[in-house]
Amino acid sequence: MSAGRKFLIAAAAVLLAAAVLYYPFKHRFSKRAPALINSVHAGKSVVLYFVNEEGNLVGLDRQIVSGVTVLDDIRAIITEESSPQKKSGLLNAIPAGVSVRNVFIDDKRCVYIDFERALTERHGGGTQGELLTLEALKKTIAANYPELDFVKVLVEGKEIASLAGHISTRGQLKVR
Amino acid sequence: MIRKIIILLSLPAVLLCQQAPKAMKVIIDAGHGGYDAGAVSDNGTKEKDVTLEMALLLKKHIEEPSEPPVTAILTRSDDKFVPLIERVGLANKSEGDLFISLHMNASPAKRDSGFEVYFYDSTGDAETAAVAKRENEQEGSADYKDKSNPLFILWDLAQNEFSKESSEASDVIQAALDGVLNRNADASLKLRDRGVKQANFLVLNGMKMPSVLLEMGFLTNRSDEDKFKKTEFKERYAATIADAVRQIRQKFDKKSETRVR
Ligand SMILES: [Zn+2]
Repeated sequence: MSAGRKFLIAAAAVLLAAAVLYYPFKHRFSKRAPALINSVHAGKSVVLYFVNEEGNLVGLDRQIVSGVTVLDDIRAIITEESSPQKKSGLLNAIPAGVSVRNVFIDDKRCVYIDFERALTERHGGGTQGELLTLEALKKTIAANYPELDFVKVLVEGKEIASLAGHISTRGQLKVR
Repeated sequence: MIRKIIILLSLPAVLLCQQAPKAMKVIIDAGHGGYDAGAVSDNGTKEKDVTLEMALLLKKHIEEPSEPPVTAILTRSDDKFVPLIERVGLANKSEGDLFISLHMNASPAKRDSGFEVYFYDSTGDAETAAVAKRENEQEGSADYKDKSNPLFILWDLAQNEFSKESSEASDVIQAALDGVLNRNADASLKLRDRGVKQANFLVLNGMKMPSVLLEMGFLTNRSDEDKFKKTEFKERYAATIADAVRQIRQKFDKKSETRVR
């Protein structure tokens, strides 16, 4: 087989795989949901949420390099929100150093963010602390993905009752 | 003569209608406990210890002699873990007139300070239906998520009534604390008033009585934390909540009198 022919077959296979991946979501998100696969891997402007010294949530404009899918981008955004912000002096609404295990979206425009157990183990507690975490997640999704309506917090793939014993996280949180 | 007989016969009914206000039962919930320390300050002060101490103080002040008497039931009286669902169950089983959950707040921002009074927010909450379902599961009933179900409607009406009274109770507690610990307090005992708020609390969900959750102060704020080490401050704090409870009772008594008329 010639090199040109091999290239054509490989290109066709990649296109077919992309189509198969995209098709199940095409109907679900036909109106306003984000296309899951990013067309170009380029810089993307996003808004991240942190807590200032007064205890208020503030939005910061940042550039991220977008991943293969929107789900990769959401994971990157939340991971950055959980990283210590030494330069700006801002504080983390999402406990520092907590990894996101997985992100997925259902057909009801709800994004599921699956954290590692450190989310609850490292959480400082308090009603205000819990509300800041949940608000930051809701605002992040509202600002960057207006097509999504709900966010659901998971830990190790499972629903949790609350972050630290106060506010219920059993339901889906309406982002706006 | 016949008139006198009628008056005499109707006397028991009149007496029944003019019953003295009934005793009040307050459920005091000390947040966290046992392996659940709650928020912990940089100095190691644990939320579970402060809430227990304040709950015991509040019980003492609430049970000071009054007519009619007010009794207090604690969801925990020592350092043990009590699941939230059991706290709700205990309060409902005890048929309390008011539920007060005591907590200490925490925030990533050390400047966050003060007290705030919360009551339950069920707006748009799928949980309310789930609780109604759980409560009635033994009766083998239908799907309570169906909002046209008569049992769901009854549950909803009861929740709305409790929500109104919880909001009123929160206002009374906030106003009392604002007066004593904020506006009229010396600088050393002054605590910021963050107002009355609503949120979807696990411990207030399914409560069959007016209920509030009081975040008494921030353990992550040095000044707030230091105040909770002063006996005078804690006594004054508990006495102020107890005064507010007596005001709430008067308010609710007046309401039920109006209903009888
Ligand atoms: Zn607490």
